[in-house]
Amino acid sequence: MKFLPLLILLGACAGGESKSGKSDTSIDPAAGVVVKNQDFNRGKPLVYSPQQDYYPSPKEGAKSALENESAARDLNRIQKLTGGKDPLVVMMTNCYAKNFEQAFKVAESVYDSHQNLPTYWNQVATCYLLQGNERKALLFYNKALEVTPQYVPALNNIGVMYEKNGQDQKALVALQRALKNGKFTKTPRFNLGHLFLSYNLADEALPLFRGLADEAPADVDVRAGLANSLAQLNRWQDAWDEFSRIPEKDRRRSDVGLTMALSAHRLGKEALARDILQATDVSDADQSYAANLRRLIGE
Amino acid sequence: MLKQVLLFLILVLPSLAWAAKGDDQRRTKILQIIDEELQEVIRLSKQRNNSDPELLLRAAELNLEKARLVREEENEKFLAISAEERRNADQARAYARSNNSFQAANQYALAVTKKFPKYRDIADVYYILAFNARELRQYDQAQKYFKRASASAKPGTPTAYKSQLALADSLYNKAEFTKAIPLYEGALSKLDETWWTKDSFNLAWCYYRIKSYDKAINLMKEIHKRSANQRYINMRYFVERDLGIFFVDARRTDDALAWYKAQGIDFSGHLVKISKVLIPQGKFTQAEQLITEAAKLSKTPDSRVEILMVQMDLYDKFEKNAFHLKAAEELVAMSEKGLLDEDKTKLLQYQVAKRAAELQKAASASIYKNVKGTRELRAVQAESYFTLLTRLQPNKSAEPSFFKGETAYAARRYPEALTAYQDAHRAAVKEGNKKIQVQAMEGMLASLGQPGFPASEADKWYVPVYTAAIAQDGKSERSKVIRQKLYKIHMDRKNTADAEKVLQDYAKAFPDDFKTQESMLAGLMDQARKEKNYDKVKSFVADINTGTYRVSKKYADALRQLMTKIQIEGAQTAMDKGDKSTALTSYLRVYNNAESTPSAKANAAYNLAALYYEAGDPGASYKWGVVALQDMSAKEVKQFAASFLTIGTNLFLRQRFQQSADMGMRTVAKLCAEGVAAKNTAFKNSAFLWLAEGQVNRTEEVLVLGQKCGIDETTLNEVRLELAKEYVKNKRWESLEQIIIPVSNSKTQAALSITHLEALRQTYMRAGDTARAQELGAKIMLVYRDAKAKNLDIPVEALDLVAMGLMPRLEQKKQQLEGMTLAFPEQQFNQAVKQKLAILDSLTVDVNEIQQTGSGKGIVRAYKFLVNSYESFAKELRDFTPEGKPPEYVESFRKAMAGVWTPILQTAQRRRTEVSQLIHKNTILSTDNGELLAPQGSDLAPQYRSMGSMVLMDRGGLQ
Repeated sequence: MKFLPLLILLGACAGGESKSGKSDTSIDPAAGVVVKNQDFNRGKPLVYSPQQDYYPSPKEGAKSALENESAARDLNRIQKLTGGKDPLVVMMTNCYAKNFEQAFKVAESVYDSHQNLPTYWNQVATCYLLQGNERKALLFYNKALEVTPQYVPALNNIGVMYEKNGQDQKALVALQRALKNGKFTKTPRFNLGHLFLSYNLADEALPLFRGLADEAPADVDVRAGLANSLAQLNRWQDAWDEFSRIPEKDRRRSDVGLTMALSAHRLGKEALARDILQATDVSDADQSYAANLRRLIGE
Repeated sequence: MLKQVLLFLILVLPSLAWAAKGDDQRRTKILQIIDEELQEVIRLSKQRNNSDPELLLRAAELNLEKARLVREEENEKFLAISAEERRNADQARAYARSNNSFQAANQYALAVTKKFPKYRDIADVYYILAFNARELRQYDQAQKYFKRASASAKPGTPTAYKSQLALADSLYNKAEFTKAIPLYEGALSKLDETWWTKDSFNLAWCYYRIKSYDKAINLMKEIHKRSANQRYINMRYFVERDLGIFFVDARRTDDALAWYKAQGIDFSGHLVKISKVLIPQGKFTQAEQLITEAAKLSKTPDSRVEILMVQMDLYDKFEKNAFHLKAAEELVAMSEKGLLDEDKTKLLQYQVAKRAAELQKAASASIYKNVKGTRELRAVQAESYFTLLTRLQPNKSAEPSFFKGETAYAARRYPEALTAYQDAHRAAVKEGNKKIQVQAMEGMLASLGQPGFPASEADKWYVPVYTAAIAQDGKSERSKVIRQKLYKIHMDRKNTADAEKVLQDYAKAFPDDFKTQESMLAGLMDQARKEKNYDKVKSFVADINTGTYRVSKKYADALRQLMTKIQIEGAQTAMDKGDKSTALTSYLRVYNNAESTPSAKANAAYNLAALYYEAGDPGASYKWGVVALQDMSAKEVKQFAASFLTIGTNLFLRQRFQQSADMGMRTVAKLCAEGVAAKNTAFKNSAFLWLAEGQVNRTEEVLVLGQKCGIDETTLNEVRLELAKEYVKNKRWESLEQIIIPVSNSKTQAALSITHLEALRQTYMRAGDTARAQELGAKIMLVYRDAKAKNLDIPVEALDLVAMGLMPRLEQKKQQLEGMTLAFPEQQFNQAVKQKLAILDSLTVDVNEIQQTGSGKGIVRAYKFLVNSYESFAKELRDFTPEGKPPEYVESFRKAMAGVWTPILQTAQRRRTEVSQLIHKNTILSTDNGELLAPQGSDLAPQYRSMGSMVLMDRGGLQ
């Protein structure tokens, strides 16, 4: 009596069209089964290539420092760039649109071909994270790391997940690890920079934002981070200069306006400080801090 | 005249007796006459006082005659009784009457010789005495009296010649032929009377005896010729009987044939008779020649029988076995046709048995040991005789058949022996001869077992012999062996039906012999498998299950495995050929077949799970995996536990969390009593996946299952900790307490429980159960210290908690410091300063203690207290102005105080620098960072709050 050596089969499993469509109808022994021999030949799964693991840059130049790595901040652009053909992008788009059922259908449909790609598992995990299931997200981020150890996006995202849970110290470790393994990746730097700034570690944040700003001068988030770093370091003129490079429409953001107002105040531009503060949307800001600022500036 | 008559009577009566042989009436009449005369003669003799020799002689003559007649009667009677009775009969009594008469005759004759020795007819008296003595077989006495009779007789008288002839007869009887011849010749040349033919007959024989064949033949011819004449005693019968012998011995057979033909006599009968005569004389060649001639002339079955009987006798003595056998065979054939009377049949049986025995003895004699041809010939002949015996006594053929077998066996003619033994056995069964049955069976088995038994012939024997042996003795140990041999023969011939019959019988005869039954079953089932006769295999298994065949448990299990193997054979063959589609269909068929063994079904289910997995159908893989886990034994699942894990993992990867978790749970349950690492993995996977699915209750079930199934405590605690997170999230405090306490008691993992213990502690605090809260607080510290002492890993969050737990003490001291107001008089001021410095020292110690926890947040918070306290105190000293003191004093006091608060402030600054370095060096993410790192003197430190969450990363980016 033979038992099939499944573990060996595991390695031999390959891609191809999914059989999921017939699963539930074909397993009834009485109903008979139509599984052709070619169904067992599921083709070779794709091999991960780090050189191809990026989003293409726009012709008009970078608006976002993270455009090659993250679609979260510019979904439409990424969709256009890929022409909607990349199943992972389709999956990702559905995830961000909270159309998870469709996203996982896509994931299942490309399982055979994509199962060896960390990108695939990273995307599955992100979908679960966006769905609010951190346990599943963590399982699949770990799967991505199993497929490709030290896969930077997975490490970054684990860090993001910890940060979301208030486990900043753990987030720090994950992000640092991500950065260590992807020295030129931008997202971990971006996230770390923000994490550092949150804890007044401007010395650590500044170089990160500086680098990102050099690479993507038009990225408001990066510019804001850079300016805030400088402000925390008491380099008010530098901070003011950086804030000044942020488009007017973006200065209403609390992470821009509040510190920019303080910078103006430090530089003796009281009126300007008041105007800036007045124009700033502080609804998402620390209200006590905003109040103290108002008192200081004399709004 | 009387004397003449008497003498006539004496001489003639024997001939008359011959002529009247069997004529009782005539004999009775004569005896009546004799008795009448005898009474008269005795009466007269007595009247004359026995002084008349004539009367005495006459009385002697009459008594003698009477004696001879009575003797003849007595002889007939005596011979009429059976041989057995004859052997036991009293001969003296049987012949009492004749003996009395002989004695009476003798007494009368002797009385004459004594009283009247010179009696003129004394020669007649002596003649009577001589004759009487001869009758009584007193040959010497007879010869003496004949001589006296002859001597006392007057020459030329009949008595003289007769006495001479009597003497010749005596010599003849004593085989003194040469002496007898002149007496015969002398008397017969003178005496031409009735008795000439008879006496000449003796003379002819004397010639013959001394090999004067021509004389003998011529005399015989003359006797025959004269016998035709009424004057002479008719001796033709005897001449015709014996003349042939003379011719033959004279090597004048042709003359004999011519003579007999001339006489119109059926010569064959005579030749037979002659042969009979010749054989006892050892004249085998002549006898054979005659009998051969006789055979040519034989025309009737009777004569043929006679010839053959003689031939058989002749060849027996002559030891011409082949001829003897031929004759015997013909006789037996005739006997079977009823052509032999009882005596001849008995004689034939005797002859055949005798020859058979002799030949058998010869065949097995050591003398022929190395003379194979001779020995074999003897054996074959003996066998033929035994065969004839069986024909002669068909109702008692067992024994001769057996001996035939024995003979062939001894001659190493094993196939022939076997045939004979078989015949013997069959006959013995019919005859109820148990002894021969047993012996014949032994012979059959021994013959068949001989290495020299030709293989080409053996095949046809095995079955009948072994079958018969078993039928005869089915319970012995040897029967076991025979049954096994018989089984093997059937199997070798692929005659499984009969082999099965053997097995059935064996099982009945030896129900406890598992081993042999197993062996036979194995062969039969194997054959059935080769023939793809699976129904038969199933029926065997059914027979085992119903107890028809008893086999060991081990074997029964093996059979079930075989059954399983058979059932999945097709599927496996397809697999081996790479035809997975067919394999899959076959496995489905196996599973759906009601007759499939549980093991086959389990195997099919497992392989279906594997095949569906391989085909990329996780749903089907799961369902069949579940079936396999239900149907397979724990040991099998253990063996393929890795496969089940793989299927489970695949389900998880295909987003089938519940199925994956369920499979893990089932795997744990199946492997509950097994020691295998995969059980732990399955347990953990299942628990975590149920949690991921939000199925806390299922996770709890898994945990209970894990506890029951011997999952190690470390793994159990890992699951407990994850469950604890859910309980905290869902505010299930009682559940939290239940689940976290075992973790807090772990020697290695207790530190992992600290955050949960703290959550619980706070809950108790909120609930007002401070006692329990304190207990938990103490527990936390206990756990922390123990882990610290053991240098075990403690989670950062736990360290923070412990550190923060120490913080109230610092806060209290800070408040104490702030609450202590500086005021004059100077002694009071100094006392306060001193106390505050002591508090600062104490705070420094506390900070150091917190620093020992390793909690970044704790350290920063503690430093914040310390720096703030130092700075506040320094500021307080700097800003203190003694009230009611002159300005000079105040100025002097301020200068003096500057020497006090400046170092304190410097210490504060130093501490600030220290903690700043710590924060940067260790990247401590503390909410207190801003306060400590902000530039001194700034009115408001900038505060940063990022827009939204951090950014998720989708791709690795440009390389």
